[in-house]
Amino acid sequence: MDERLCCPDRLLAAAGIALTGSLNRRRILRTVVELVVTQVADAAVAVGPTDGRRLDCVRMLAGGRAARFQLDPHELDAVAGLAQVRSGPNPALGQRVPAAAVPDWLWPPGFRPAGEALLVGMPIAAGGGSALLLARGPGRPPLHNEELATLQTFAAQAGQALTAAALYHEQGEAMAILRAELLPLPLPPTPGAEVAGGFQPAEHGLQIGGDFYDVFPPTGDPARNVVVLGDVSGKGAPAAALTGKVRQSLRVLQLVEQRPTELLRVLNDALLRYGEGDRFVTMVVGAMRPSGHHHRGPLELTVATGGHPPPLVLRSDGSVAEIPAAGALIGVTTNLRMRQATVELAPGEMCLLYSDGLTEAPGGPTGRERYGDRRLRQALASCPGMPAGATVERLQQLVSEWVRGGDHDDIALLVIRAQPAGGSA
Amino acid sequence: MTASASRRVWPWRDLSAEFLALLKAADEPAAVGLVTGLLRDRAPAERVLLDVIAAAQAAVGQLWAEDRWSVAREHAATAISGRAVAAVAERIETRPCRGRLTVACVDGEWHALPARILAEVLRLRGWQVDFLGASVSGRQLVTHLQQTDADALALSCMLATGLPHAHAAITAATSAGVPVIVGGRGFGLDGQRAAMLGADAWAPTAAAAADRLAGPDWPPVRTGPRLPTPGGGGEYAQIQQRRGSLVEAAVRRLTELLPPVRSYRREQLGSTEEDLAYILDFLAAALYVEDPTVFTEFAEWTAGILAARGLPVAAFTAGLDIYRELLPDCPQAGAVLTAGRAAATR
Repeated sequence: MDERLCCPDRLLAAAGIALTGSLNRRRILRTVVELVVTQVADAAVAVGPTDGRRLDCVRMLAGGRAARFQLDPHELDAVAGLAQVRSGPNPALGQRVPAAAVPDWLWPPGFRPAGEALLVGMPIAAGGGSALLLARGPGRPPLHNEELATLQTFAAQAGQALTAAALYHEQGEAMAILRAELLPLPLPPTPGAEVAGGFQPAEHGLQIGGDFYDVFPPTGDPARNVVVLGDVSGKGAPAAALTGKVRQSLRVLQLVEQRPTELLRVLNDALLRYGEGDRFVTMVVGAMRPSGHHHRGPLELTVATGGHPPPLVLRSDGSVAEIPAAGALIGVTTNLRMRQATVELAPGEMCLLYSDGLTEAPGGPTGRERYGDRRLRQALASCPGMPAGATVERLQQLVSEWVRGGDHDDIALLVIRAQPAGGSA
Repeated sequence: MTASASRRVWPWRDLSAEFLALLKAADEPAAVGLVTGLLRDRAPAERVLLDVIAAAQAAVGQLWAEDRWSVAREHAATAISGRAVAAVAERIETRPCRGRLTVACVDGEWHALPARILAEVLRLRGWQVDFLGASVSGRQLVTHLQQTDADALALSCMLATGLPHAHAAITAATSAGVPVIVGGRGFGLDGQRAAMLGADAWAPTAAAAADRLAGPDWPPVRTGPRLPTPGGGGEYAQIQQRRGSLVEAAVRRLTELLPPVRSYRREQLGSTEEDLAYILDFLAAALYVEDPTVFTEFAEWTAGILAARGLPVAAFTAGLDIYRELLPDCPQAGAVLTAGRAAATR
């Protein structure tokens, strides 16, 4: 144990890898005390940046585990110089602090320092700061000046890591709020139908993109659920921004208009008038309602498309057919010609809306083949009797296996299944 | 839990059989009703998850392997079991008192139910659990780990072809300072593959994983710099790079050797391509972790699947022989293929 810090480089080498790997503030504080206690001292306390109004802290005793706790800012006054070291103008300088000047409750339970403790600041450039307090126990050689110098370098590194973490956290929070607006919402009630959707973005880390789907609560008279699935040109954050606008417009529009062709027409006008002119959308819009006495009849689904692959229907006899709807891209021309179509789904039959990221997905054994319409129909045909959610998952799985980790465009899926006879799903 | 409930002896095997019968009938309301009824009668929730639902799912997998159930039926049953697990989650509230865990399936892994059940068992035992679901990409995983301060990552891999991805996930978590416990059939029957890939621990069952995470020697304390463990040596890299052309060459060779293949319809040819690619993926995984049992276990399993469907094992061994021919410069691969052939024809 006494060869600790015979080479000051060892602490810094360990710190180099451990500290640069994390962008999480609490994790960094834990790593700091773990490194210090295993390399240099018998006990260490990291007094961290504020988490709201209280300070995030971690402490550890040699042979024990790092433990998180919190302090109120006024409690820092218990140790002379602690508050200043955390946020002073030259915070990286270290100080020796007499053992008596550190209250017992600050150390890990049961620890009594022998001799002086060391106090070093871990400055955070983005504001606020952190400090590190460490000491050796009885019967151990005192910390000398070389070790103090190494610890100051180490603390400066830790401060840089904490700075990166603070910036990442701030941006992450803003992103999370914006992204939450763009993720598919939980689905509302859909009388007579079971609906499930799935989204596989091209950019895995971001989780948002140019594809989207929405299912709106029943409105109108007779009440219909409007469903949409669309594809904004482009990928990632720029496309997602337009996706948000289109979805918001539809959310409002469908309150007063449930006819799919009319929805597309108004949306088209709006994009031509207010859009940036360089982006377009392809979309499927459907309106569905259960028909017949006590909703025991088939599910009636009216569909219009704008430049988008028409939905597929899986019938009880296992056959797969395209819905005969067609139309031009949305947001490109004032002369929007569309042909809508209505299908009836018997109990248990399914309709699949999808974006072309699915059929265009490159992969297969050679890695270069598109997934294609034929394979998609086969895949859908393998799902009779499956709940809508399971069908979505199965299709996602098949595509994922097809691309095997390669790149693909955003993929959005929506499955509408007429309630099977004799049971609630 | 009342004293009588804790002393009560529950007939888990019968209950699991009853649940399986409901899966067979695709009767979701009754299957979920069975589970919620048990919870209402104060059956221990963890046992319901493991000894009723998970046990029935194991039987479902067996039924598919024996060709008694189709893929669609197996998927539908899995979906119902998933709803039953969700019903347990809805009904039992817990207060997190232990720490925070992340549970995820490796990239490309879609058998998410075992990981889902693990997540639920951990939650019942007092952890705060973030369940990331099936096929979590490295990017997604790293983003999530950096944003939360998870005490550990529990990683599931059910098929050994996912092991290279598992390595990437383990490395990412380790560099972010998060300890990793792994499990699932892909990691084999002991902790060797897990240790080779740098995991901090391996567990054979959900209950064992939960015990380990709550035990005295967890989390492991890092004492020094921890560099990523290397993986993916020369032959693995070669095979990965040439994967597309190897599969094409194998199909051509198969067509030369087996005349019936010449008149295959497009779907059959597609399936044949897939099967040959599958063999290559298992071979690659075996080379990656330097463990031939990855391949011999796959070979034995495939032989069983073929036998259950009345198909000749030669349909499989032909593929192995062809790859040996196509990879003359890969002695390790050749040895693994030979071992696989022996395992399939035992």
